Amino acid sequence: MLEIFEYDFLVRALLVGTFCAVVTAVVGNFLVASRQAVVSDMLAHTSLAGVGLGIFLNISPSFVGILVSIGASIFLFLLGSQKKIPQEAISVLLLTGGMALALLLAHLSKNNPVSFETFLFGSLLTITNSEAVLFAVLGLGILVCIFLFWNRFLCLIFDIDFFRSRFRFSIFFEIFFLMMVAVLVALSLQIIGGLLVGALLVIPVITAQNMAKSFRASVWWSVFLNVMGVLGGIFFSFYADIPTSSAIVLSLWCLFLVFGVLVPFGKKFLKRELYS
Amino acid sequence: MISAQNMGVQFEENFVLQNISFEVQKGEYIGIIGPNGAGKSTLLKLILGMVKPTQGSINVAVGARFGYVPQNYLPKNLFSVSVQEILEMGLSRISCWRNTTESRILQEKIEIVGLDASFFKKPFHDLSGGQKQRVIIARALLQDPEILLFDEPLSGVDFATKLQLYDVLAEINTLQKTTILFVSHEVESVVNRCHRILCLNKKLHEGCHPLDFIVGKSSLCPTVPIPEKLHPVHHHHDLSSSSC
Repeated sequence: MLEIFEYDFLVRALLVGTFCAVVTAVVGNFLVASRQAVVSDMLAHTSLAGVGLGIFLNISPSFVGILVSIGASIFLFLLGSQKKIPQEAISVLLLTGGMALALLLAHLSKNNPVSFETFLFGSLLTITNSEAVLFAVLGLGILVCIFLFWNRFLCLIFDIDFFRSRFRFSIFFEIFFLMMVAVLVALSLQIIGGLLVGALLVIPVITAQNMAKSFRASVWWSVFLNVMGVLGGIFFSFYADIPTSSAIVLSLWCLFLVFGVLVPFGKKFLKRELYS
Repeated sequence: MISAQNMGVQFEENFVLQNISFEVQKGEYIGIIGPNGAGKSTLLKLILGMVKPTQGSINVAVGARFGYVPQNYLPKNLFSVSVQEILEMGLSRISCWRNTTESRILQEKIEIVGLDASFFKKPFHDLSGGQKQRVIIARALLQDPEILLFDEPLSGVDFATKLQLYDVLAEINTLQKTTILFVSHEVESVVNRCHRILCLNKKLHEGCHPLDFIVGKSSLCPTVPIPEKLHPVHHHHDLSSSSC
C-alpha cells in the first residue's frame, strides 16, 4: 500500500500536487466570488499559446507561457474596463484565439522533443526538481500577497464600486489580481494541464459553498477538499494505472457529488422529516 | 467642502452632466433628485474622484474622508461571506490578521444602524433587504467619514425600516456634523430631511435650492413629483421619535 512513497518522482508529485491544491483553492475563492471563473480557462488556453511559442522558439515553454498569460490578463483588463464588451465575451475571444495559436505552433514544432501534450493534459509525475522549486517560490509569493492584501482583495471582488471609492490607485490592485491568477494558471499547466486547470480553481470552491458561512470558512473548506481531491487522484492513478490529471479531476467531482449534492440533500430531507 | 464650477461629463458624444455649479458647506445635508439618466450617480462618482469632469472643475476639501453607499448594493451572487467580513471592508486594515480593538469598533457602528454583534457571524445573503442596507451603511460609517454619499441606498427596503434609517442619517448629520449627499427618487422623504436640494435635469441646473424654493415647482425636475407642501422634520430628535 505504501509503495507509492518508495519512488522519488511520486513523492515529489505528492508534494507539488498538495501545494498546488492549496494555492489554487485560495485563489479560486477570489476568482469564483468575483464571477470570473471563466477567466481561468481563458488564461490557461492563452498560456498554452505561450507554451507553443516557447517550444517553437526553443525557449523555456513555462517561462513564455507565464509571460503570454500575464499579457492576456492585462489585455482582458484593458478591454473589459471600456465596458463595451462583456468580460466573458472577451474571455472567449482570447480563449479561442489562444487555443488556435497553440495548435498552430504545436503543429509547426511537432518534431521538437518537448511534448506539447505535457502542457495540454498535464504531467505531474514527470515534474523535475527545478520546476518544483519554481512552482514553490512563485506559489508561495502568490499566497503571501493574498494574505497580506486579503482585506483589499475581499473588497475588490465583492464591491468594486466601494473599492474604487476608497482607494485612489485601485486600478493597480485590479490588474495585480488578474496577473496573479495568470501566473498561477500558467504554472499549473504542467501539473494538471491547460484543459483541466479550471477544475482545481472552481470545483472545490463551489463544493465548499454548501458548508461555509463565511469567506474564510469557504477558503479553509476548499483547501481541504482540493488537497483531498489531488492526493486521492494521485493515489488512484498510481494504483489503477490511469492518467493522473483525469484521476484528480474525477476525485474532485466525487467530492462535489458527496459534499455538494448528497450531504445538502440529506440535510434538507432530514429537516423535512423532523418538522413533518 | 465641495465646490463645482460649470462642471460637465461627456461620454463619447453624450453629455451625462452639463454646466453644473454648486457649493456644499461642511455639515450640510443635501438631497439630490432628478429623473432617470439625469447623472445623479455620476455626480457622486465625480465627487469621489472615480470619474473626471470633461469640462469645468470640481474641488473637494483636501484629505476629506468619504463614506460611500453604492446604488443597489446587494452582492449579485450568493457566495459565502459573513456580515463581519462585509463590515471589515470599511476598515483601514489591509491584511487578513484581525486585531482585538476592531470588534469593539465594528460593534459600535453596527449598533448605530440598529443591529448588534450577534449578526457578525451570519451569512450576509441570509439577511433581509433592510438588514443588508443597514450593514452597508455601517460599513460606510466605519471610515469615520466627513462626507457621506448615498446613492439611492434604500430601494427595496420596507417603509418602516426606511423611516428609521432616514432618522439615523439625520442624527449622524446633526450630532457629528457629517456632510451628507443623498440621491433618491423618493422626493418627499428626502425633502423633509435635508437642508437643501440639488435638482438634476439635463436642461436646467440652478445649483442647490433651499427647501422652500423648490416646493410646488415641478418645472425644476420634470418627471419627478415635487410635493406641494413641506413637512420639515427636525433633526434634533432621537431614533424613537419617527417623523411620519
